[in-house]
Amino acid sequence: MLEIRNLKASVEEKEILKGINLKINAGEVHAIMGPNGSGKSTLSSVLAGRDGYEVTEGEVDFLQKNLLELSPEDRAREGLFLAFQYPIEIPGVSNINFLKTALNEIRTYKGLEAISAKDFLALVKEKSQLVELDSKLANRSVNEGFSGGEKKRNEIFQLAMLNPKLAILDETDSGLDIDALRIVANGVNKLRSKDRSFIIITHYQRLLDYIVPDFVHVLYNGKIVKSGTKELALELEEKGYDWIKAETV
Amino acid sequence: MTTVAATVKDKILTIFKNASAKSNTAYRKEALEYLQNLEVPHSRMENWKYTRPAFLTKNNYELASEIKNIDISPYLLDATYYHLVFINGLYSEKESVLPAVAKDILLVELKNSDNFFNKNFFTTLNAAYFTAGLNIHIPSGIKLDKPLQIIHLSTHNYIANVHHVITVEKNAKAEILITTHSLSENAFLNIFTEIECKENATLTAHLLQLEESESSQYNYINCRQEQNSVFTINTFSLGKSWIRNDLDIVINGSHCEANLYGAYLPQNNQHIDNHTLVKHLKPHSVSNELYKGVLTHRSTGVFNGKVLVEKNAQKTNAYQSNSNILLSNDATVYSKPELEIYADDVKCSHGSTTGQIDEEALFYLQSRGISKDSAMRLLVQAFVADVTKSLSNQTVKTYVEEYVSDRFMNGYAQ
Repeated sequence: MLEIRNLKASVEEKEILKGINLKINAGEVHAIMGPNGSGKSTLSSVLAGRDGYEVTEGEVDFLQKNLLELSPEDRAREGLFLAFQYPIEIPGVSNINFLKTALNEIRTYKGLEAISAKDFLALVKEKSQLVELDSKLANRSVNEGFSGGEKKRNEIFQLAMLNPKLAILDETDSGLDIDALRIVANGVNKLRSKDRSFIIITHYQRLLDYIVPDFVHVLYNGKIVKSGTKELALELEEKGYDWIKAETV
Repeated sequence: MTTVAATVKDKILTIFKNASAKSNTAYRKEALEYLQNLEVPHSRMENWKYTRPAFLTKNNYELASEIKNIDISPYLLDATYYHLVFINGLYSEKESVLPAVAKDILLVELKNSDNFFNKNFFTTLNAAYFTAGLNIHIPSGIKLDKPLQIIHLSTHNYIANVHHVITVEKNAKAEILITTHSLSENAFLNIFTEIECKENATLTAHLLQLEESESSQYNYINCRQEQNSVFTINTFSLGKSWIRNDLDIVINGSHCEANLYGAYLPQNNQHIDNHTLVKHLKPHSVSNELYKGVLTHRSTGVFNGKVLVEKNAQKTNAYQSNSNILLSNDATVYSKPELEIYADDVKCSHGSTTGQIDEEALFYLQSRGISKDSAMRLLVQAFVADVTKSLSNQTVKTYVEEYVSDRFMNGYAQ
């Protein structure tokens, strides 16, 4: 599904990613952990195509396509989804109008007809229940006046609506209380399938109690320095990142 | 300097004279005399710093002749509305559909005793070379059952000096749309509208500037409000015309409400200038003002909004805001909100912002599969919707929203 080879990227001429290698197969859930400033969010931004990141070396293949050559919208249309760490508030653009536009542009890209109003509303109803998102929120402006938890649930709701092949959750657990965390994680678990992969970026092991990963990678100083199974996350929780730092020096 | 200014003025006067029907009324004579004391607006005048009308001397205007057999249906916002049609400044009774209170809608007769000049070069020119206008009188207690659209269509390189007087009497209520259209790049519409809202009157006015070609328009509206009256004016500049709007509101009563909303979307080399003045003379009144601009290409926008609160106008609430999005590096906005307060117990605020489209919001939308062009359109629509959401007239609301949607359907031009 996704293969990252020796990916190097800079922000304002400062190298942040220093050679990432990662292969993700369909249906797998990979957790990427690491201390602050290790490059986790840079990796998600580079994959989603955010401006201001310069890829200096390496390749990313996504479903046999060169991901780095695609515009952000085409990456999404090909099946990539980024759940933002800090979802943006967009006053005046209704959640519904926004999602309908997104869904239909993705459908047009795939050569499908626009979704009917009836089917769309049924889909909204079904998917909003997945993350227990109040249907009233769907009619409000995108994220405007949403609580931290509602914003994160709205990200997972969008994920469910757009039905991507690969979803990157960028610190989706940050700012969530334990109840909201459980709701978000339940939503994600229901969306797991043999065709859909996840990259879960997080600081803490906590989220991984709910969304159990197949693989755990530790990102440190722009490189993946350790990979393992879910036990690695527990070990990190116990020993802290200093253990990794000490090993890599 | 004096000779140069005099030359421009002489040229303008000659052009207006040649483009206007002959008349020897005392009123014209008085206006012409009054013009002697007035300067052609120029950039050294604070109110005209960014807007230059000297282009009037460069265009080739002709003496208007009556144009018949024009299909006005494309200009009707809603065919069921009453409508009053002016073609090149001349009233077309044949094309107009008047309300039952029509006996009170009469052609304006300018009289010497009325001093409409107001030290304003264009309104004085309007008086001197007056083409036509209507006296619209909504009698006391009457609530007009349907909106009334006043259509101004320019078909040729003519100058139209139109002067309307709208009076909404005590306890009366009306909704009036003033729309301007032009098929000629060389037309000049000089339109002066005087409004009076008497005690407890409600008037909603929509000014829709929809010129299909790059003509020019000077528009002066003044409104005098008496107590408990509500005056709302929504100004949407969606056409291609050079525009200067002067809007003066005098709140001369307590418990009045004045709402001024506007949106302007200039394109290419277009220039749109909105000057507004709200004078609070009496206590316990409210004014709300919100103008938004979206500018593309090499266009220019000017917003100058002044709120004046006189000493007696205690407990005034006055809010004013102007914000702009520049979609091109070559577009320019001059925004100047002004507050002048002489009372000591008031709530007033004003603000102005000018910026570009929010890149973070753009990326967020793109990351969901929405093209950059569509994302831009959604964001511009949302920006303008802040103004249109206050519209209770769904026809006007839909018209403006669809205009924005169509205009930015394929993204935007630099």
